[in-house]
Amino acid sequence: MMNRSSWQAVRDALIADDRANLGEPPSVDELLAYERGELSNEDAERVQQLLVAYPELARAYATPFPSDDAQPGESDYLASDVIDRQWNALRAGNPSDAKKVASDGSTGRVLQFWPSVAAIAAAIAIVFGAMLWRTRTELLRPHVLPEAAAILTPDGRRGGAEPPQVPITPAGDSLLLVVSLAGTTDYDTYRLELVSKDSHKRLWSSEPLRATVSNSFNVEIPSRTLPAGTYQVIAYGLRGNAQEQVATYTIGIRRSLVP
Amino acid sequence: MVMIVNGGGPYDERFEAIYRKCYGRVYRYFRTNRIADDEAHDLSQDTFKRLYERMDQIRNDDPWPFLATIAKTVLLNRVRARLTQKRSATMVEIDDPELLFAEPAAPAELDYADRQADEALWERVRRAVASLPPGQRESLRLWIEGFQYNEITKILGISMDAVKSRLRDAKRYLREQLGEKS
Repeated sequence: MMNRSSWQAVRDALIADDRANLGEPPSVDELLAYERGELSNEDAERVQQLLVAYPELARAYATPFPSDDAQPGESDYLASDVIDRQWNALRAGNPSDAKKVASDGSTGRVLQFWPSVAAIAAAIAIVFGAMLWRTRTELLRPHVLPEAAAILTPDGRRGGAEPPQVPITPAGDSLLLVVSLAGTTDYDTYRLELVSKDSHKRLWSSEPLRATVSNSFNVEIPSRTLPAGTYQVIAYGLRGNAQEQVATYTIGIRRSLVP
Repeated sequence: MVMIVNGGGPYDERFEAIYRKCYGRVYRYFRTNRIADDEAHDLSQDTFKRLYERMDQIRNDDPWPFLATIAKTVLLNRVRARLTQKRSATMVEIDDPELLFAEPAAPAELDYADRQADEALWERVRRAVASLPPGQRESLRLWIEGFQYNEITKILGISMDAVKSRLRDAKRYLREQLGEKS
């Protein structure tokens, strides 16, 4: 007599045959399209055959939704505190920890905190790494200087003329200022300052500089640190702990596409 | 990444209301499909995360049809992933409820003659089933798997009467082929 248990004996062989012939189970999109009746007859028949070949998938496909959630006393009933825990875990961004999460009752804004912090830290590390790499690269590569260095003459020795205007072009990375100390060489060391004459801010100050044979100092300034405006280089003579202003050099900076 | 915000806006208040109202039903759906308790919670949470991402797609006052479709998609994805995993590797999960429910007990040891007779019978049945018309074969296969008539109608997209008649014809054909008396 043929009964259901008798059929179970050939089940595995039939399924193995089908799966070998038909291949992979249908995609979820195909199944949902089949359910909505959107497939062609040919595709619908193929999905039917695959559902027969994959009864686990057919069972998931065919199982109806419960009309309601379980009631107290039924096996799958969830008490409200369980749902509270799940809700808090979802808000905390870690559903698998639902059983560990205390129900704090707060209703504030809760985000996935640690993943966000980790993402920000990673972004900061990348930015600083890029900046460091760029700085090292810039230090290692040759600098492009303007075609002619700006040779500064002390104020008061130009016959009342306007200060020299130095164009900074996109081609130049640095501006070379040649500070001449003619007539003020009786100091052992000197110190130079760069001051913005517009804002009266000191932009840079050198270490003590020993006097040179040429009586001049070459100062290389990154172009990008000098917005258009008027600047003053102030030279101080140092003797012991005392210093004396010995010369000032005024220079105008203008931005230009051509020298 | 899903960011669940409960800042008191109407959008989030609605999501929380849906969650609290429907979580139990979604969880029960997964449990009905033989999903273990912990995983049923995980799948339920995954369902609601997807709902949160698509809240703007809810077209009517009742969110359940939309939520049910998401839950079904989550379930089908889970089952399909396991099937494809099984196809690519031999895996035995000792706490797999499907295994516990569906795996037949080890048969009692048969002697060689009995095994030969059984194998001959199974081969005849297998050939007979393979020779059935497609509609009858599919209905019979699902019936063998233990599906109810209403489930077979859903899977094959046919009426209850069609299922009954196909099964009746298939059994009759097999009885004729296999020489069974009943």
